[in-house]
Amino acid sequence: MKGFTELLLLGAVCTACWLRTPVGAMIHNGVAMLRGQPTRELLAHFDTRLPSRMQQTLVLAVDERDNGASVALPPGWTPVLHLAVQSHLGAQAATELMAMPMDRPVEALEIWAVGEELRDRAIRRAASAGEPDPELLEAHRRFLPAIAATRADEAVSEVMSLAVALDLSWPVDPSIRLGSPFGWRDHPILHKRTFHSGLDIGLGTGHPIRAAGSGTVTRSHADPVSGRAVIIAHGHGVSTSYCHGSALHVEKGQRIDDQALIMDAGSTGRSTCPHLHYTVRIGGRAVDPAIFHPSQGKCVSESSFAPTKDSKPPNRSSVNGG
Amino acid sequence: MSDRPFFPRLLLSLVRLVRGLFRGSDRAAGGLARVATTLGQIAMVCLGVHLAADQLDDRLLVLLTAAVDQIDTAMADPLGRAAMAVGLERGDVALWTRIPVAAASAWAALVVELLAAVVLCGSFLLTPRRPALSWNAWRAALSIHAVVLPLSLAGVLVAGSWSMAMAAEDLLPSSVVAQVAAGLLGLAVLLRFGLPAWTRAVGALERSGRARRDLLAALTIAPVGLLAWMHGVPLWGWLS
Repeated sequence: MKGFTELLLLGAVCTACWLRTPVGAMIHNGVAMLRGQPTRELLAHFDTRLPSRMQQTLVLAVDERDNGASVALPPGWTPVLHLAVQSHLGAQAATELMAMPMDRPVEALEIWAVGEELRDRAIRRAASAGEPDPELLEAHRRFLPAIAATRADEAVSEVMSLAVALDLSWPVDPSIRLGSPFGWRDHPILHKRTFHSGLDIGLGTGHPIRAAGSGTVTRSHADPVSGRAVIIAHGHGVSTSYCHGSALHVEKGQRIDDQALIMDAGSTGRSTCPHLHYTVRIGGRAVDPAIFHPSQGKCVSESSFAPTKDSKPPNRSSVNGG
Repeated sequence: MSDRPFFPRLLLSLVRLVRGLFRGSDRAAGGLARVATTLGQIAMVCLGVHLAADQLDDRLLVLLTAAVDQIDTAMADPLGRAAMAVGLERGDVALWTRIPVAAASAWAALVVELLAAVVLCGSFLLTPRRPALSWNAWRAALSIHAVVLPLSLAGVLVAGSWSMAMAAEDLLPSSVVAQVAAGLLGLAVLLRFGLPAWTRAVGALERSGRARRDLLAALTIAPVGLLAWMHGVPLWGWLS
């Protein structure tokens, strides 16, 4: 038995290393490159929250969304997109962008950030490199000078993701009281200090849970931690996840509309009572969903988003239960 | 010729065959012990070092964000005035402070992680297989490196085993049995892979003439070891 036990222990420790460390990702990438398969992101193993600058922007933008007056917008621009530009790039940038003779916001944002000449040159080079849709920023980004690419990301990717996030609705009746908040807490089951990556909303078993926005279902299955869970990608790096359901109503790959019924509440997985664990991620980083709550947005202080100095447990599964 | 009927004899032969195969493959698996030990030790160090590096990333992010904000605030006015004097927009000169701090801190943590993993793995892989572990030998080799290495490596190995236990716990349905099983698995890998690695590294410590290189190695592994002790050892949670 000794030989098998040793192999079992070796298998366990090597699998954990392979899946959970950048060293494992580097070995995987080496093999994947030789076999022409997709590689893993090394930095994905570092669990960082959204940069404080963008978090502050988000809080201010939600506040503005709830209080702001409506403005006349050129064709193609929506109020939340205008608000995202104003909050993230400033009022001056918003004025300049609205004056541009383009009805496609993504194109206008990129031209505003890097200039028409650099953009055109990058598109031509992407087209000659055989990119199928060279006009997309993702297709020609690598042909932009590094500093211009950074500016384009900031203007296009961050503004668009902010706009998508600002458009999110609430997945349950807003009058239902919020439970365990986002942030550091003593885990009710593990009895350890863990980072709660979402917000708990106490619900009865079977209570309908609706999509916070239109998008594509990227996950709809059960696991021991999240229970029955759904993850929806809303585009531009914004995703929402819903855990501990009792029944799932959508399938992976399905396109759904805002407020579509996706799940019934329950207490599956690592959970002590029926509730919804709701998570919002922007660019893969968790933000406090409470700021999107119709009546609570204005109450959330900026300090609750600053990078924390508190202790943090090692990487657990990406959808943190509880 | 046995008096037993045919089927019991067949059954007995099959049992012997299976037992023989099991013992043979168990012995073959045992023959891989040296390779298994080395791979397991490296994997444990990688797990423990990554736990510490993840914490280092958080701390660097806090420092970098604060530093960039301070620089932005301090330089906004003089640089803005200078920019407008030469016909640029105020916003253009602030571009250099738009450093992607989250990525910068994660890359820095990754570099430290890889360096620390190499130093710590080298500390036991590049030594005699069974060195004599003695108090007097350690005292004779006393240096900053001789103090930092055992402490850091111990923290990293315990953190690695705890990471391992939590990875197992995440895969199991939530219950006391799962927690106990995960804890036992962590303890088993610590005793099977961690303890021999630590014994080998500490037993091989000697007074070397390469003080500067040893100091550099100690400076690389010290923060990793400290963070591993702070966040990778479940003791503090239990005490509180």
